[in-house]
Amino acid sequence: MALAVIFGHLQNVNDNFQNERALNNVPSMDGRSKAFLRAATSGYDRALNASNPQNNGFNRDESLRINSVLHRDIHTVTAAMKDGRVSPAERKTIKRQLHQARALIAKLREQ
Amino acid sequence: MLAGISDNANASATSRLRVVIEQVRAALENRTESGEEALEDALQLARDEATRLDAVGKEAERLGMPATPDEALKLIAVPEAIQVVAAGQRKAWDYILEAATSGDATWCDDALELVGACDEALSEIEDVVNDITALFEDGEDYLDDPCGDEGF
Repeated sequence: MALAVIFGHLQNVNDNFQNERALNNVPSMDGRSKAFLRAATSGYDRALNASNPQNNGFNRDESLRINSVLHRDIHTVTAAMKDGRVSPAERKTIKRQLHQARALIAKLREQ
Repeated sequence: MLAGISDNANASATSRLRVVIEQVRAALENRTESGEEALEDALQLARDEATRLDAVGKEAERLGMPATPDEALKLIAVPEAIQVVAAGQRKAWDYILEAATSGDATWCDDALELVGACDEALSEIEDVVNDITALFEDGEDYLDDPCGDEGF
């Protein structure tokens, strides 16, 4: 639920900062990929709407949805691995991305 | 004084935030000469941290590019969640700025809530990254060779 709390604080100044900015900055992304990105971030958008004080604050269902978006990465990768759909090149790419994610987390923790 | 905090390489980002929040609160509740100095230090630190966190957010945004042609394999939520936390930490520093400039200590309460949420969210993201990483550990020396043959 932590992300929902953060979104609540960000809402006033940064509505939609995830979705459209990300899409606009990736002109080379094809339509299918953009559609997937929109779907993946729709949970965040709903959380932004749910955190509107006029909607009586946070909605538990919306907070749960945010977590499910985050954890979908695990499920989709797990399923693809089991199905043998991950090529060696793709494995390398994903590993690099995971390594970069760790580096960014370390920067935010600064430990 | 806050200078000692910013110079402490061992302090985590969030523990530094917490300490500064409490110092600002104390300075606001008991306005003394040293309190004013503490507020000035907090302002400078907040500006520096905002710049640093914006850079981290931009890195995370770049990381959010599709990793593979297979949409089932794109690690989208992890980079986005990192972006959210970077923005959250930055917002916490904004609250500190607000407290220091307006003299209203209630901004410190908002900052503290946000710092706690950022801590918690980082742990959640780390768990996800660990879980995905575990998928790759079978027979692979991931930690020793994260770049593979391609390099960064």
